[in-house]
Amino acid sequence: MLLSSRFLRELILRPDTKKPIRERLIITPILNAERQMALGSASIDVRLGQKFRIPKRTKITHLDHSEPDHQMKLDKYKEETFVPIGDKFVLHPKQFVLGETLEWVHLPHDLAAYVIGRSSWGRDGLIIATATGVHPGYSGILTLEISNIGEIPISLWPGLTIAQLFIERVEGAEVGDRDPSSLRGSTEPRNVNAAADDKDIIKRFKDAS
Amino acid sequence: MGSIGRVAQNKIGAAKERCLALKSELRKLENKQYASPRAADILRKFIGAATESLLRFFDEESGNPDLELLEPRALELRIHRRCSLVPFLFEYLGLLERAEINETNAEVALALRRFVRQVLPNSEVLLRAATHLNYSITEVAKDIKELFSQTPFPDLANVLPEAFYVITVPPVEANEVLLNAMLTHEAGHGIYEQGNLADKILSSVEIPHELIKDWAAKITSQQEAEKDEKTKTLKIPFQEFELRELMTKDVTGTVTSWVAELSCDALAMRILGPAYFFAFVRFFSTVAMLDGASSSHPPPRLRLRLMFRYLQKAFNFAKLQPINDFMSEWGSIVETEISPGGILVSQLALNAISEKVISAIFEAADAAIPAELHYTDKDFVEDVEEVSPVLVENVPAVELIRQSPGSLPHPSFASILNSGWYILLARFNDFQRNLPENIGNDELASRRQLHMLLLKSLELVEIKLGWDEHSLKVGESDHAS
Repeated sequence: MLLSSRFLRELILRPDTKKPIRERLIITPILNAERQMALGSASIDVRLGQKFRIPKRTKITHLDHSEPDHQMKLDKYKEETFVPIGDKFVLHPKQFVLGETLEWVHLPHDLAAYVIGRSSWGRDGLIIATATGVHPGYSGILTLEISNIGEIPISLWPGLTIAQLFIERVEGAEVGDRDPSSLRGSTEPRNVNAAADDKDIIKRFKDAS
Repeated sequence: MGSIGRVAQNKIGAAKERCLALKSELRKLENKQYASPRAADILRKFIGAATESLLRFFDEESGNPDLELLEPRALELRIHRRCSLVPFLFEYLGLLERAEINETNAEVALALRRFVRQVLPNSEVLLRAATHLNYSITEVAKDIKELFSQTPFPDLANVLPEAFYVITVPPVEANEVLLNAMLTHEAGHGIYEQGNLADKILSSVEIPHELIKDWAAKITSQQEAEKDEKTKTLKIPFQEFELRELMTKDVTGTVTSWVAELSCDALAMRILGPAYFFAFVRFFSTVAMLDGASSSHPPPRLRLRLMFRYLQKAFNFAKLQPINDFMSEWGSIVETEISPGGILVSQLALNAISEKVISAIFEAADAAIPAELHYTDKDFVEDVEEVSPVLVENVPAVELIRQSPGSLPHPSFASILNSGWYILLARFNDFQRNLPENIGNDELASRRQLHMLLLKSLELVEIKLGWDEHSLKVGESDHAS
């Protein structure tokens, strides 16, 4: 069941202080509650944060998640930069960067979320997020995969509302359940090895064939 | 134009070339982003305006027919007074080196600026990285203003604030936010200067003249005994009175520097409380011996002793077992007799730092920091009870649902650092349990995560405060409820 903005306001701005911190919905900082959780909607707008990870052209021939030096390659392939509020990052056509939400998102064991780009940005050719699920118990900034598929450069100003978060209740969840991924606790946009858990499987397939 | 005129023209031509090079350097910096954008902007504008003024002056002088009427040396001096500013402008530009946003920990820059401006109003802060493993602060506005006051462009330096602090942080520790507590000591130097604390404290210092006299006599008699038999001369040709004078000068200089350092520690303790003590213990363990002293810095053991005494007086850790244990361990360490080896001046300087001097340092530090900026026992208890539980859950402390009436809705710089130290010393296992397994099982990775979380807290609190201040300014009432 999707939570309304009215309900989100209650949960975020007037939390039940008897509940342990772990069991509260925390989205912080909220700069403008009335606009970010406009009554009548069923989401909370989230803002663009200050850190970016930018791919750069290097001597690396390709990325292969199954290779042992994948992480090292990733570090060479991405450059981190900090764009303070008040300054802008210009995203050129066909360019891809990792950004972050300004807000820290902490979900209790029984809530999950989806990050969806705002359509007003999408109409300019800006695609905000592709992998959008946020699991119960997650706590961290959300990494945004941002692409400009339009024809002209777009200025990205940290602090702008760039995406929206739809939050749903999770049936059958138990207290203590937590997002098992290593992304929990992210304080900046990160790349992870998508195939980390599948390396054995790849080897088994190879051996079998 | 005669040969002397050519000297002047040559000076003008070379200076103009350097000014144009400076302009070109400034243009290159326009696209750069700095961790302290306001400070960088002020500095760039100042250098830019000074360069333009110099170029205008040189252009006017080139076409000035009266130049030939001047006596050659007067002409050279007239031009040189302006030319000599050029190397200084390059030096000021150099302050921006390694101040770029990706060279320093940009998350902490604005929080640090706010913090420094609380204790040093009308100041501006430029944060930069430096290769050496040391934190430092240098005030540059006073010297620049003085230099420019002796030129035909005294007003140019008016764009600089009353105090312009350049703070350097070792890049290897840029993300070790808990060690950034050391910067409070550096800010203390600014307070020490601005508040003329030296005048208030140094009058209580009594230089141990009798001891110096005894030592001088002892050394000269030893030398007398070691007279070179062949030449019948002393190896160090000092008369006793000369040696006494020299030793008195050395001891006085050392004590003056030590008092400044001890006072800055005392100021840092008032502003930051236990976090400064914990950071000092960690930082100096790597770079100094407990009893190692120099002419500029007293032995760390003496510094720790003064901090420890203040903590015992102003804070009660009885209910915080791990902190209490930590303090007990360090209590016996700091009260151990200080033995600065064979360095005589250090031994004599130690004698001069009497209980009377320590009281004067404490009193001056108390008076120099406004009461609302004192970090108190009550603040520490609140941070332990209300800020640290949020951080332990791996959530940055930004907007707090605080129980205590009258408390700030956002934790301060001091609160975040104290909470961080409390977690590191007392609740680190709890913190680790809340991390993903791959991080929580690794001590160093967990520490790094704590630092990153604290940096995130500082970053987000600053954004929230900036937003709230702006909302108040424009009269909006609907900002965050």
